Amino acid sequence: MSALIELDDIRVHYTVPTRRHSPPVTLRALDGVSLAVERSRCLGVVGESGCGKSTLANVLVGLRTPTAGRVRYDGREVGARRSKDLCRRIQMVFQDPVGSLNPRRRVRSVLAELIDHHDLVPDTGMNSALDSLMEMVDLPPRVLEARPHELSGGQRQRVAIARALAVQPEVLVADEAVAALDVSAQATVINLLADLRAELGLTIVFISHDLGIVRTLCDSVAVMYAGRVVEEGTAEAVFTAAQHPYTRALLRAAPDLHRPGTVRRSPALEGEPAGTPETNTGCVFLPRCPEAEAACASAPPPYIGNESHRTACIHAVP
Amino acid sequence: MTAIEPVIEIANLTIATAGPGGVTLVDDVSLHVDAGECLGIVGESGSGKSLTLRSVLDLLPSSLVRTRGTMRFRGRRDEESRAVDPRELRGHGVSMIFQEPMSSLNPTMRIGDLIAAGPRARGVSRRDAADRALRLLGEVGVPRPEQRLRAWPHQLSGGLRQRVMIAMALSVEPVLLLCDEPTTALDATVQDQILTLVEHLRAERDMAMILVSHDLSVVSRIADRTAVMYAGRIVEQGPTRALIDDPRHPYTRGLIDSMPQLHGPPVRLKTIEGSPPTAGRLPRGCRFSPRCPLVVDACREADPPLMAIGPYRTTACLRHSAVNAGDQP
Amino acid sequence: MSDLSLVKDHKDDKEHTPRSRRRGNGKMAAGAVVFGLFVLAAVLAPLITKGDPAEQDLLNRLADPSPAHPLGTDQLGRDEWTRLVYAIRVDLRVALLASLVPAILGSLIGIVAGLGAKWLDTAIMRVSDVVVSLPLFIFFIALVGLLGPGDGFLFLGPGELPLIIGFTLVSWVVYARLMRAEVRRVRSMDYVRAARSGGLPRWRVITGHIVPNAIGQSIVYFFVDIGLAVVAISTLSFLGVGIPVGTPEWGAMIQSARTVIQTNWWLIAAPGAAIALAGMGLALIGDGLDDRIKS
Repeated sequence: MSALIELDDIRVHYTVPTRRHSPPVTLRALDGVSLAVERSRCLGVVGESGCGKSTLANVLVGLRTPTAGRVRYDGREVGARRSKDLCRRIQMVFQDPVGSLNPRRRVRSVLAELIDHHDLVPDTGMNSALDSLMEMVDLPPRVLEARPHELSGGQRQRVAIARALAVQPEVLVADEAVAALDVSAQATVINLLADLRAELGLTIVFISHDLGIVRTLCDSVAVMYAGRVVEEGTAEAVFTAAQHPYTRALLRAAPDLHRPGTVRRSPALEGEPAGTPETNTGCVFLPRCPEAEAACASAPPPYIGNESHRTACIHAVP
Repeated sequence: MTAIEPVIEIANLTIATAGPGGVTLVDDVSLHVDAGECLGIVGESGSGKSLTLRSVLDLLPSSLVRTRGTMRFRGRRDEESRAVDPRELRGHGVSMIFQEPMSSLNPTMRIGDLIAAGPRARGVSRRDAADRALRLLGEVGVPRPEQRLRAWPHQLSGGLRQRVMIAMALSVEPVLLLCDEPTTALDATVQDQILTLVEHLRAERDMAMILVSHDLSVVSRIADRTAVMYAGRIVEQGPTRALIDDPRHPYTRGLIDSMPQLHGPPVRLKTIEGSPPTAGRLPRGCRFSPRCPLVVDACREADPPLMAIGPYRTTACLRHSAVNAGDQP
Repeated sequence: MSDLSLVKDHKDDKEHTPRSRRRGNGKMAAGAVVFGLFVLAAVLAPLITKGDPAEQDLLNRLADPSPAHPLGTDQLGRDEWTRLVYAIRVDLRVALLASLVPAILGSLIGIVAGLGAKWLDTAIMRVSDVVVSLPLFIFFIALVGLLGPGDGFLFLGPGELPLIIGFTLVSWVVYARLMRAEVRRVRSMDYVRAARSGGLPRWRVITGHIVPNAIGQSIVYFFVDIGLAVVAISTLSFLGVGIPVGTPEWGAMIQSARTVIQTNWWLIAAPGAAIALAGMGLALIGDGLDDRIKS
């Protein structure tokens, strides 16, 4: 099967003015990201703050135009200005359940506006369309008459999902969509996403810092660091046989309920994620890598491996 | 264990909104922490875990009042514990670190002055306080501490700021360290570093600790003993390992089961039905009863008190023996 | 599987209304009562007064308060109470328009600056810098003097249109800056991004999602501004600028009574109190609104 969404060598660079008399600095939010998601699959994108995962989400839904690189949807190249129909096909669910709903609007008005704009149902069918949307996200129909502040975090996030589903999309991009929720609400939303994928054949790009959730929900995983994908593959391969030192550190750093008790003498990784200086021509992970050697500084490491598991590290074993 | 008194003992703490018809947010919470011990408090937002912690230093928002509760504190090992007012503990025996490392550091003070401020206020000379600040920065793992003393908070990364906050907390040599979601705002690898640091410091200094978190896996890594809070009450308490391996309250069980697992094949998450009650509109009987899979009629009659069910273990569930009796109740 | 109840329903709202919101409601109610009394008095002016604020009674000048003249008479024997009440019409009409016109104009400019092209934003902000740097009162006196009082315009009395133009030229800046800042804040909210990624056209995102959430602070300032305008208009006419002498207007009334302050102090105290009370009532409304918005 061919990919539904393909990103080909996407770059997003920002020019940031610095103090007077010094040249502006270029920040590379995304620096050559290539990814492909097949229809009805779920890709997890993991990484720490500043790795570019939110920029990636914005590129996918068209809120940011890449500096360079190509986006293809269903085999066709996507331009800088997207058609109304393409906007409809790719929808986003945001992290903050408070900020992602217009505080002045009732749920009904927000959903109806979108459905109406895309002429998805005849006016007479609006009420039943809204009711079935509520049913889809497991909310009672009276939530339609609520304003966001009357809802709990989990309910708001389900309304946000309903808003995305209102326009009958093919792809859902979820940017840290459960990060702000309590554990029990988080679990119900994760299950809801899994169900929607199974029932509607939705394609999901799930961006998260939480490896456990990605393991639960996704078929494939891309690990990002400083604007690049450092390791990518099926969830099974990446989680059980991680190759990149960063992926391994992430896995080791994640606290695990069922494997505690061992007081570690050193943390999994030193330092903090930070932008990579422009002068660095080698591997983006070099400044923090415990396994770095001279060769890592000279050129970005090529991907080693195959389609089901590739790693950008010279130490990776194919 | 000998009969030494705990470092801190809180009894019957009750916190409500101020004014007539106040809504109770923390209801009759009692807990203690022994010397060198770490108590974890886990709960979802609105469970009252942070309020409980803040009340130790009387840091409640002005709209809330402590309507009931006593506190006993023991400053040194050879001291007898005595009843204390929370305000006397600020900077004297108890320090606190907060979740948000940006807003918790005064942006108009240099790092060195921030750390030296506590000791200075207790009469330490300027020079000694500065020396102590330098030593502490090194101890909390800030690289090149001499240079950082002159830095401003905004020049530091999130992880470094959190280390500075820990150094500030340690500067008054507390016997009890309160941590309110200390790593929630941090990245995974940085969270790991901070937790490792806190583990080290605690072992080195023999400090007692209370760690509040929404994340049971964070608590499980550090806490010796864990209390689970739900809707303003402690519903279960026990040694962390035992509590996780053999939960005796259906809410604890639900929390554990709804956490996604990193290792092993992916499984569908189990969920807890419904959502927590709003403060002031609690259900009759047990607060968890509307969501509980084990509920029986007796649960809806009265809120069950905490009952001792083993060494150091208490639960507020009438059906505690059924919680782990097979997966299907 | 789902939460079966809304976390809050409306019954709950009353019990758990945040304190600041309740306090805001109290302030708003107090302000509305004060302001409402002024408006009511202005509307019912013919019923609660002698009826003609210009009617002179030269035989009965500077009379003390009496049942016939509750606040006495002025130097021309005009009934002070009647003039005081009719002055509400003048002062509030001018103040309202002198705030409303710049509020609408400034807000629109602010929206354009906040959402439009960068060069446009820069241009608007530079112009606003220039306006801010003008010495307000000197500018006013010059401008209003230049325009002259005129004969009135539509329903406006003499001297009123120049005042409104003057206020508009100066105070659109505040609204433009407020609106620009708010629009920029709201623009990056996730619900706006959601509306954009839902394919809604730009104008619908702006009118339906950005502006309604950005306009709160401007409305708050609008109410405060009316109060400030009342004070400013009276001050100007006290200085002899704007509303012509002889018109029933608080500042002008104080001006003409200043020579008799020793004997007939109430001729100054009454319009003075009216100015203060009107300003306070409007400020209370604004302040209460602000508390409500922020809670």
